[in-house]
Formats: sequence, C-alpha cells, structure tokens
Amino acid sequence: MGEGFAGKILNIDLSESKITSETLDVHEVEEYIGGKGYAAKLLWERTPADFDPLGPENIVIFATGPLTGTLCPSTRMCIVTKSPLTGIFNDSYVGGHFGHELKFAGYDVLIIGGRAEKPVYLWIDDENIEIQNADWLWGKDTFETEEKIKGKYADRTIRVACIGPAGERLVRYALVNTDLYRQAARGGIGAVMGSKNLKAIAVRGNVPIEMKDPEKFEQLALEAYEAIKHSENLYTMKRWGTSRSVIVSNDQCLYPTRNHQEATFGGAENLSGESMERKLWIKRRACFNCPIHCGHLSVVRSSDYKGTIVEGVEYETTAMLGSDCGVDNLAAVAHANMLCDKLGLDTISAGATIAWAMECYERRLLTNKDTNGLKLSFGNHKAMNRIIVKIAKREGLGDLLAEGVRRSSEKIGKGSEKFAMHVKGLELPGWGIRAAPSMGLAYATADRGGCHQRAWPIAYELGSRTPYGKSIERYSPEGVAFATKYDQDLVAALYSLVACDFATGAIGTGQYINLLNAATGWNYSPERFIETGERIWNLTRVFNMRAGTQKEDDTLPPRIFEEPLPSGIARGRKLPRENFEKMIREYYEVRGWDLETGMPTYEKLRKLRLDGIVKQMGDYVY
Amino acid sequence: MPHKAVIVDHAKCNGCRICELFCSRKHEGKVLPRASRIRILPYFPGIEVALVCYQCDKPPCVKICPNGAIVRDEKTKAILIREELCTGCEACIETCPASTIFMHPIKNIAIKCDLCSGDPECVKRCPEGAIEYEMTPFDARRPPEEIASDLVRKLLTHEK
Repeated sequence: MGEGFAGKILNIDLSESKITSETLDVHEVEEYIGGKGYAAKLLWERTPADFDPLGPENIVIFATGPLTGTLCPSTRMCIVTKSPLTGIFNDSYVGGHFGHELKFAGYDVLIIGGRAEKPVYLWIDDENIEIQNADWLWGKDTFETEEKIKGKYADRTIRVACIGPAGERLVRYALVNTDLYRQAARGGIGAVMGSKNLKAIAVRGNVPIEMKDPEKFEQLALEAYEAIKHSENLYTMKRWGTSRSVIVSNDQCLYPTRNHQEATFGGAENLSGESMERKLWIKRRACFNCPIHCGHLSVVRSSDYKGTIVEGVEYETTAMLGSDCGVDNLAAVAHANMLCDKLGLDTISAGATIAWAMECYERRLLTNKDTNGLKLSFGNHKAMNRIIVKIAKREGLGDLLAEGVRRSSEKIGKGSEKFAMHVKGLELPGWGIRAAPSMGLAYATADRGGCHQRAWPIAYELGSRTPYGKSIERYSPEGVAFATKYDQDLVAALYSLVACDFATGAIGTGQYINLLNAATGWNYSPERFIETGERIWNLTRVFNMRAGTQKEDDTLPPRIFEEPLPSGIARGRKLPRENFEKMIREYYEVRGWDLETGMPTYEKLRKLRLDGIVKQMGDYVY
Repeated sequence: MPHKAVIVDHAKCNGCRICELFCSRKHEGKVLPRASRIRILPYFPGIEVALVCYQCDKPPCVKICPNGAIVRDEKTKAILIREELCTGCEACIETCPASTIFMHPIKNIAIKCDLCSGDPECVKRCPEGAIEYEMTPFDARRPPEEIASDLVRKLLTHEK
C-alpha cells in the first residue's frame, strides 16, 4: 500500500456479477497524480477504440485522489466515463461525502463495467461487497432512493450515489446524485449508470489513510485551513456561495439570457445571492471537511412553489433555468432546481435545452402540437417546470429534449442548429462569450465539450493578472491561447488531487504540491505538476480524437460569431471569426498540436511520455 | 448538579464534519470519522444532528456496564470509558437514550466524548461556532430522530 492512498481498485463487472479488487500500482498513479489523470489513463486503457457510451463496454470510473479523505480541506472526487451526450471523454466532479467514504472503505478507484440483467445496486461495506437487487428502488427519485437505502441498513452515515428516473430512462444529461444535493451533473454519467441497470452505490468505510509524512502533512493542512479562514476573496463565497456572481456577471454582459440572444437580464436582481439570502436561505451546508461551506439550504414558504426545499440555487442554475429561459421568478427557479436534483437532471444542460426549445417555440419551429399545448415561451416558468418532468420521463416533447440540444436541433433542423448553444454536444453553461471572447477559446477547447471549469480566462479579461504575471486586454485575442492552455494544464493537475475550484485560490498551487508530496512521498515540483497536467490534457485529447473528434469540432455556436449583443456594456459585440481563428491557431501552436488536424504531434506525446499510449493507438490515428 | 458539556446548536451545523476529523485525530492520531466521539448525522431534507454525549446527571450507561468500565471524572464531570475494562458488549450503546456512544471501528471497545480533559477539540475547530463547551442546565438526552423532526418543523415549515 502506498501512502496517501487507500491502496486498492475495486472492479465490478455487472454482466458477470463479478467483484474483484486489485492493488493500486502507486508508481503508475504517480505519472498521473490520481483523480482525473489516473481515471483518464484507466478509461483509455480499459475501453476499446470504438464503442457506444450506453453499451456494456463503457465503464464508469469513480476516482478519488491522494488528497481526498485527508485532513486537507475542501477535496472532491471525480467520475469519468465516455459521455452519451458528447461521445467523448467526460469527467464530472462532486464534493459531498461519497468519495471520502469510498476511500475510507479502502478503495481509491471504483470501476464499473458491463450491464446487469435487472436493476441492481452496489453495497460496499469495507471488504464486503454485494450486488443487490434494486427492483424496490427502480423508478424512485434520488431523494427517496438515498433515504430508502439508509433505512434498509439502519445507518444514516452511509453515503449513497444514485440516479433518478432520468438516468433510468437514459436522458443523455442525467446526473449522479449524492448527499441529496451534491451532483456529478455534467455529461450524462447517470444515463451510463442507467444503461447498466445500476440504480445506486452505497458505501460505508472504516479504514484510515496513511500519510508518508503525517506531521508535515498536518502542519500543511492546518495552514490550508488558515488560508481559507483569512481569504478575503472567500468571504463572499462563504456567505453567498456561487450566487455571489449573478450581479457581476449581469453587469459585465456575461449572463446568458433567452438562449444567449442577450447577456443582460432585467430580472437578475431577483436571482441574486442577496435576494436568496433574504427570501430562501435557512442554513449553510458544506461538503466533507470544507470550511468554505458554500452551500445553502433553501425553503420556499409561499407562492405556487410553496414547499420547495433544495440546496442552492447555484449561480449556474440561476443562469440556465433563470435568465437563459427568461425566468426571473426565484421560487420557480428553486423549484426547477429541486425537480432536476430529484429526477436526476443536470440543471445546466436541462436549462440550455429548454431555452433552445423556447426559442424554437417563439420562432414557430415547435408548435402547440409539438408541445402538446404547453406554451413554451421565454419566461413561462410553469411551462419550464412542466417540461422538466416530461424530459425526465421522456414523455411527448420531453423525449426529444432528453437527447440534449445538439441531437434535438439536428432532428428539428430548419436553422435551429444555429442557436443550439453547445460545444461538442455539451450545452454551454452560464457564462456568455461575446463580452469575454477568451471564454470562447476555453469552451471550444475544453476536453469534455462546452465547459467553464477547465479554464476561466474571463478573470483575466476583467483585470486579474495571469499566473505568469501578464495581463490580457478585454476583447483582444492577444495572449489568450497561452493563458487558456496554462489554466487547462493546471486545472487538470489540481483535479487529479482532487481539489475544489473554490479552495484553490486561497490554498495556492505551491501549497497543494507540498501537501501532495507530504502525503505520498513523491517529489513533485511546480514544473512537474503543470507538465503532468499537460500530459493528462493531451491524453484526453487523444481519447477524444480516437472517439471521433475533429479539429472542426473545436468551434462555437454560430450565434457567437454572427449576432451582436443587443444591450449592456458589450452592446454590439460579437466574436469576430478572425479573432477566434487566431486564438485557436495560436492555441494549437502553444499546445504543440498539428495545425491541420488538431492532433497532438508525435514529438509532443513523446515529450510528455505518452508514447507508450501512442503505440497502443495503432491504426486509429497515426 | 449542572456541569459543562459539549453543546451543539444543530441548526447552525452545516454538516462539514470537521469536528469528526479533528476528534479522531486527537483521540486516535488519525483522520477517521468513524472513530470520532462526535458524529454528524444527515437527515432529510438537508439538516444535521450532532451526536455527542451530554454527560448526563444520572447516566444509564454507568449503571448498565457489567464491568464497571464507565466512570465519571471528578474534575471535568465527563463520563469516561476505561478502555482496559471494556469488553465491547455494547450494553451502554443500547441503553444510551441519545445514541452518543459508538463502537470503535477497529478495536473491540465502546467510545464516547471525554471532553478532551476539559478542552474539547471540536469546539475549537467548528467553522460555524456551532459547538460550545458550556454549562448544561438539564439532561438534554433526546434521541436524534426527535431532534431532527423538531428541527424540520422549526426550520422548514410554518408549524409551531
């Protein structure tokens, strides 16, 4: 067993009902740190070149990292699979308590493959692993599933990861729910679980994690607590959570409104953290070992949505189920949020898909016949809440929208593809592009498709200095490529620990590396850390190219290039194609990728010591 | 006689379990929540109940222990389990009305809050200030389910 790790990989083959555990090869992990990096390697090695994400060949990898389940505050786990929404690599992250519990049960990584004949759930109680019948859970929502499993074992401290009805029905953006309100939401991992007839995983763990240098590690962890405690930036996160960003985003013309037709929303005040603090919040909620406690328990006490209880509303949800659907009714957004959690839908993809459908309805590309009489106009919050249920059940129009915005728009056609707001099939989240074009490059090149968490150069356009001390002028393509690459590599390494976005600013990369070294006994330098991030990024790129991604897919929805913003401080702005092309060209250059194909060059892969994998690629690309 | 104990304001608890980590670290030298003497139970729909011994005036655990392993500390008034006398029979766990005694996850002994000899670690670590070391005026030994349902009523509904 290696320090910093529980020491085992747990393999579940649902087709054969086979349970095996293998010793974690810590030397192999060292090249990828853990978490995202190591899971990317496992996904690459343990899946064939070409396969259906919803077929038995796909695997779901629950991966903790060397800092998960330790005294280091604010850590998470990641879940990696091939996405049924995008058809490419997908890594989705969740805090809560599940990943930590999994590691305490003795497993750094859980890999689930095959397909069970009938609904099952997995019970992990240290070394006692059982695949159990889940007929009694099938059809239940995520809240009820979690409660029922805790009830069965008469233990409230059990941790449950489960899918809702949306995952069972293979909605392509179905999520994995944990701890009631914490989700690995993006990319449809819930649908992959559903395709395997796997309703839930329940875990209880009793094994401590050994540290290489426990004294040093504790000292560093205590420093990390202090850093979080005294961080000025984190005060607003502690108080208002992610919803602190609503007003700033709206003022800066970054708040997607009515399917990205606009980027400022008249109702933003209603959806702000201040508004939630006044109207909804009753207490704070935190993930395992997190002194930031960014979550809030919300209760709606009046209106048609009385009785709604949910954690949130997070910024992304205010944008996607709020402004982007033209909805300024906070209670309605909170209710929609609760429905998504309960039924098992990603609020970002659900909101984006519904916003697209609303635009189709207003343009008469979808008629009352298509919607079965539902008036799916922007701002109709009742229709929004109704269609969410229909999506989860795949009823009527919901069956189409359950496919996500790319497939839906391909089916409807008639120009609706032009305002289908996605990259590589993943619906864009709640940050507009035309008022911060660098974000366009970040979306176009993010490894899991349209994602805001792989690089966030918006910060630089708004005045923050880049990590290497340069500044980027707003709206200018200059210097964006390197900044984006740098962020992506750094984040890939941090997501391998597995660190949380909100703690990284306060704790700092240098301190994370010290924690990593104290936990594992490895000898990571800042240079090696970022180079490892680059290795991981190139590996996911190679995976995606093998899965069919082409250079042409590194692009943005036409609306971003063609339609100027109608209002706000960035009024009249669009992203000029030549600026985007300059950024993407420079991006390939700084990445060492082929300008013609967008593939990592052989030299690049060899330099990153991925050439072993290149050999395995055989016929696929080279 | 009133005495000091670890008192938790459940409504303030955010469920981060930092208390569990630092408790297990202090008592076991390791981070292992299931060896913590304080436990945070999550209840639907998103509230927490902290389980930690109230150091009752008339503790049923002391009375029921067949080995006389449970005794009151003269100085802090903490009720302590003498490890060397504990056989892990779980009689105290079953009798505790507040469910604040636990089995050790590795050793065959029962564990409970010992007030850290009068300087409770959890009190110092709670980022919400939800845990205090203060005088308790009564034996507040209610079962967690009851605390949880009261909290749900108080926080989440209009009912009084």
